[in-house]
Amino acid sequence: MTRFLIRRILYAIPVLLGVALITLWLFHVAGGDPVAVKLGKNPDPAEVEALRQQLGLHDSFFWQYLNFLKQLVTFDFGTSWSDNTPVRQIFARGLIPTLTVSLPAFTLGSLIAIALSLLVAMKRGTLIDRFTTAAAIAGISVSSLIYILVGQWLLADQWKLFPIWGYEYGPRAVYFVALPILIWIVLSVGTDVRYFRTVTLEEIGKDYVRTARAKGLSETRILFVHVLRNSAIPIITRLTIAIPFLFTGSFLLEIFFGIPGLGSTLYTAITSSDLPVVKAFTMLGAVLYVCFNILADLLYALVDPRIGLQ
Amino acid sequence: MRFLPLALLVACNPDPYPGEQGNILHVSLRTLPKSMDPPQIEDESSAKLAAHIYDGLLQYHPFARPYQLQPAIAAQMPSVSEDGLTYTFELEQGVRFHDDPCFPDGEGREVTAQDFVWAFKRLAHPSTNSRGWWLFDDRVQGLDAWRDQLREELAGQVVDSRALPGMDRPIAGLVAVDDHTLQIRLTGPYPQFLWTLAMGYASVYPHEAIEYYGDEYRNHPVGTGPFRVAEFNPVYRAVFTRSSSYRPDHVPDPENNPNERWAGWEQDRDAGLLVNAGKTVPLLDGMEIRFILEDQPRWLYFKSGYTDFLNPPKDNIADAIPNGELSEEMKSRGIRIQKWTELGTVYACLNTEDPLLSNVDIRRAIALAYDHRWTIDNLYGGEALIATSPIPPGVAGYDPDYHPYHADDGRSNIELAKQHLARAGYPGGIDPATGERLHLVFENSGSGLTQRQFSDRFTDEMRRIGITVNTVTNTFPQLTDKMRKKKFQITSLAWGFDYPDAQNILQLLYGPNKAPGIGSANFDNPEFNALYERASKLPDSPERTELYRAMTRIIADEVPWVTRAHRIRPNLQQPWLQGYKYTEVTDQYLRYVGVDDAQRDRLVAEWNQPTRWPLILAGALFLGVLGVSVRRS
Repeated sequence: MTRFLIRRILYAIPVLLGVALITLWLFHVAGGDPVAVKLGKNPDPAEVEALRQQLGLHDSFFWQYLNFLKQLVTFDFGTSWSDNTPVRQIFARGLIPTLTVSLPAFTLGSLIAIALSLLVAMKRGTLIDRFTTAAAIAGISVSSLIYILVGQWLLADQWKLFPIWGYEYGPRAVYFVALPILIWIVLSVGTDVRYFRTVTLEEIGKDYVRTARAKGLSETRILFVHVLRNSAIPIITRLTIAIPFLFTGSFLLEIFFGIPGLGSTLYTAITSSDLPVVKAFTMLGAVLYVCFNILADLLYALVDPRIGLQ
Repeated sequence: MRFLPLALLVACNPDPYPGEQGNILHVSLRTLPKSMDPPQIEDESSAKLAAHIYDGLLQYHPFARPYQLQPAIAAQMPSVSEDGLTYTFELEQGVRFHDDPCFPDGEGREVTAQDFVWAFKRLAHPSTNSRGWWLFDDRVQGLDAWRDQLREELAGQVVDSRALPGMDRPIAGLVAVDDHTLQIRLTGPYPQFLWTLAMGYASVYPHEAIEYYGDEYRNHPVGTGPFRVAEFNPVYRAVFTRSSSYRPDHVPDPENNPNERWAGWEQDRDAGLLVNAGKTVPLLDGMEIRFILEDQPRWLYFKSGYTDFLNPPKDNIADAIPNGELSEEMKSRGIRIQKWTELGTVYACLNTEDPLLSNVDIRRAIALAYDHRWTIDNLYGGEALIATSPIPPGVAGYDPDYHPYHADDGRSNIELAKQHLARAGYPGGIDPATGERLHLVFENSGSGLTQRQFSDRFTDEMRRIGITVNTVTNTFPQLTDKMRKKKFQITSLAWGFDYPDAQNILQLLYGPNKAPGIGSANFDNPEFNALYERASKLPDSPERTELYRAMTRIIADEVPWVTRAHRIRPNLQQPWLQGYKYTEVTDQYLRYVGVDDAQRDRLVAEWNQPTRWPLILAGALFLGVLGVSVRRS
């Protein structure tokens, strides 16, 4: 297993180098003028030049790339070009609010989706199955923005059941994140149920399920012990791919509900060409993606003994 | 379904301020502030925050219109030398900085003239990347030379922001005569000088705070204003509390004190704006300012009573103010409205150095094809005036009557536009050299709905005179980059005045300011330039106003801009807000505002009663499904 891990980590290095190269190159091609971000609307041309020098914008692309790699290794991406806040501070400030929404929403949403998909797979062809499938398709077909706008208007403004906007650190956060979590779950369950249902249906038709039924096992046991375990690989794949995105949150939910998290920060950084922040987010995403891919491989071996770590 | 108990647990209380009400003003801002460090205060939200924390020598009168300056930390308006170049300010004695850990004993010390000299030097220092240097650029004796020398000396060095080099060197034009006398010597006439001293850039703050906080000062401002920062999260909210050291100040009381009268004070009294006249300022114990970036939550927050006033988002104007009047719903809640025409102009900026757009007849054709009425009716809900020149109403030089390339009714004049296109050498929009249609690229800033609607409409208008248009969407930095490099043809921009003087917008069309400067149209007309230079030396006077008018006539003839609109801004106020008269150029007026918090508590509770039946229904459904499942299994 150690050799497997070392090999996978070594494989990840060129991937991360490539992501860093593409990120930097994209900003060079289409990022806009960072000096405009830092100096505002009436800059003195001499000051523009001095700042370009200071930011290393006159350095060769290769040299800038090396600097970027150094930042990656030390995880010190400097300060935001928009407001001079250290990027580390931005992450420290936004991580908790983001995870306060994304983690429970992801966990609850996944559990609900798995339970529902097993249920509808078991009741295949019945009214419950048709209704759930139709509801899932209808749910997927509507833009996430509509859910947010309508959810906020109806549940928070018209029915006054939740706060419209806001966030508090500490236990009172629950009070503010309940509605964003609810909307996240509604947004994610449709897609997940469709996918998990297909996976589960494939398993339910297999011989071992018939054998289990013939042996007189309860449907609940067949579903939650045998079918679920054999469906685990595609489910793990899907869930582990989603986990890195929990750290960047949902910028729409965060902006609409006033969650001071990383999603809204990333959105603001992209629209204001704030390269240090965008670079940090991109690399964090890439690192997490690689890590959770390795974790998925380990989990495959755990749930399916036929898979070896070689 | 597992989330349901959680939701039930936390629901049924929409109040975002449980236990936090009181004599507090609740405000929402639509953008994130970037910094509260004076040299960096450029964006709207930063300026609005800084207005409560800092003071400068002068400030705007909270009620007088047209806008009028009055002393702030200055004891009276400055004395000016005969040549108009030396301004002497006597400072109010006993004005103190906020109490803050940056001071040895935590207690704010007295403000002196040396503090202003230091703050102005820091504004000019090359290492601060100051956004407000333009205030003093080439204006104060010795300041440019000091700055240039420092830039040269510090080239390539990393400078410690806590200890900027060169701050102890004397500057001939910035002199602290004694602790309470400040003298500023200008290099030449600068009629806008006093206006600039009321801007956030010219605020005073202590050197101790910079030495103590360094770069973090942007989040820990220390000033002399009525409020100090209690909590600040730059992506969420700012909470301010009343400063115990604020200088003696009160709401003007014109009724009992004739010296405090201004033109039109009776109307303000009759409108109920002087209910707190004579009371000590600030009237509030604190402020809570939230950064709500999206229109819908900002609007719903106001409707629910959680913010005390709001300029309604564009898409909610039709609901709140149908036909220009408050809706019945708004009236029934006691909400009040104030309307004013913005100190600003929305315009299409044409790059006059572009090979195609350097032809004035093409620019005139574009202006004639543009339908102002449609834009105002459809994009601004009818709440805007047609801009016939860059100067808005209320500013000297405003001239709505001269508009050779705008139709009187604001509609397109397609026939005349085609004639100009033919005169330009492109009959029917066809280039005779290639046989192809003229093609323009319209640069959008951002992908907002209004921008897209405007560019779509512009494309259609150009199509009607035979020109095809391709729209490119940019972030603002991308657009700025293109403008600085002159690599664009047309874009839509807006300018909000920094102070109520037409020079502030006309500078954008002054030849020497063209790109990479702020003159993105790259307009360089010798006659205009000569008029601008003459006007820039004159104080506010009929002669200067006539020069401004002459300049706007050149702009109307030469069309470097298609001036589009001066937006009419409605401001909605909750019934518990007292003495509120919106001032566009600064938010300092909020220190003269009060709230009736008992009325607010009562109304907010009344307006926000939860509707419980959806919860009961959801609970019943949940239990029903659970029951059926259990029974079946």
